[in-house]
Amino acid sequence: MYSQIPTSGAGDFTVTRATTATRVNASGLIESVASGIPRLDYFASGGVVGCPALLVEPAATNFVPSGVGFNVQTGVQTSGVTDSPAISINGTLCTKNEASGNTRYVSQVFSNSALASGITYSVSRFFKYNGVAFNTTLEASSATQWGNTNWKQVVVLSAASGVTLGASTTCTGSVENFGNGWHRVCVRVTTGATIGGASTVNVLSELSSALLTGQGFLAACPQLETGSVATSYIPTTTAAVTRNAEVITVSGAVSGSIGQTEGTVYAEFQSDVASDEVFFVSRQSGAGSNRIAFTKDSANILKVQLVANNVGAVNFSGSVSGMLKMAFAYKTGSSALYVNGNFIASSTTTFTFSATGLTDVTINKSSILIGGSVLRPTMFRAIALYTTRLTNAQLASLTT
Amino acid sequence: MATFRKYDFPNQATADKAMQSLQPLDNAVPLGEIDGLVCYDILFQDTPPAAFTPYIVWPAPLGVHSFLGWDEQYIKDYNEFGT
Repeated sequence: MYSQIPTSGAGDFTVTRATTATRVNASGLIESVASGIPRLDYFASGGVVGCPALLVEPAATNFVPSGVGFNVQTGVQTSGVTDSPAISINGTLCTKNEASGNTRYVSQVFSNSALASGITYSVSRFFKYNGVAFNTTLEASSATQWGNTNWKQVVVLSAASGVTLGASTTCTGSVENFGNGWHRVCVRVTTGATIGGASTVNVLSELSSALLTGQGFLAACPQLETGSVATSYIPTTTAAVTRNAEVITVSGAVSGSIGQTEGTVYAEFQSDVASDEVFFVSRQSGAGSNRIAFTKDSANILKVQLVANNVGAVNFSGSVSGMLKMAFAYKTGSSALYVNGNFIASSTTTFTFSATGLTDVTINKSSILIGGSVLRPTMFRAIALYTTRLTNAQLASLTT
Repeated sequence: MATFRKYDFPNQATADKAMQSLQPLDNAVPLGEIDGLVCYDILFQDTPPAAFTPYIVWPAPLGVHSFLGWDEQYIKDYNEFGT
């Protein structure tokens, strides 16, 4: 992955991801990206496809063995229905869920093996209003399969609002507008202690009386994964499928582009949930180590830590949300952090880096350096390094 | 080039011992116990270490799990080595 500067190639990143992955393309459609290729994701905001960002995600497994659709049952049409975003992956991924007499619900296998106990899972699926106001649900078809967690999320489809959430029972839900009428509903469920069999999920009408045959809604791209975040869609056909993590790094000659005694790190990025490792400048640990770490916790607190010669010298933190512009200037006795044009913190602590110096820039490497091993999806629009400590006025201007 | 392989270990301790030879970018996905054996799918960044060789298995494609984009390669290897 090329850096704009330097043009010598010394700042170009190596992108490692040994599997295919998916992204939202410039047309707002989900499409596959080959292994080892960075993903520019044109994520939608409020249903409008926006400016792209580099999508960096941890490994994830979609346990749903067949992403094509439900088992063939009355009231469900699993072929001949195409609509975006599903058509961009596979023309058969979209299902039309129709009422038919009193049969208004169906179940789908969400895992061929039993879930783990005491773990938070994310259940997600795309929904689209299809001409009839309709309440449906995502819910456990058998509480015992979820450790006696009888969870249920009502999903409301309407002409006016598209897809919104109704009541949540023993779970938490969220909905994201992907444009073209498609919304991704994500439900977070924590399993109980004793699991009974493989998991299934119902999509169930909430109506008191049956609709006319042929009336219903569209659904696509079911996903069940561990953790509290629905990551990018992982297509499946017959078995659970894993997408590997991205690791993006540059070392060696790049050290000449990193300020070795003073400097400034600028980044524009978004990480919506807690992540122990967003990115590093010089990802070192142990005796003599130097590093500048950027992380974020579950309370939306951005944390910046500078370690010089294995001594923590600067620790800044500040509340953030959404896509943010951040600039961290470091110099012994004079360090400062700005976010979105606002002063966050400063420090007069003195420090001296060890002779090892600052050696690399690393995004999303999956081992523990700070407080845990949690990696979460993060989107980057820019990372820039300056070899001087910019003035506070420059930091404010840079992040505005 | 990466390599996708499937393994059955007699117990977790044996699996853990083999896992010590994994490289940082290798991705081992535990599948749980199947027929009393501890099962893993592993996508090696390069060639699988020798420690895994005794435990390799070749279930008919694709078994219960795969890595995204590696179905065809596994089927090709299955036809060459597993049948």
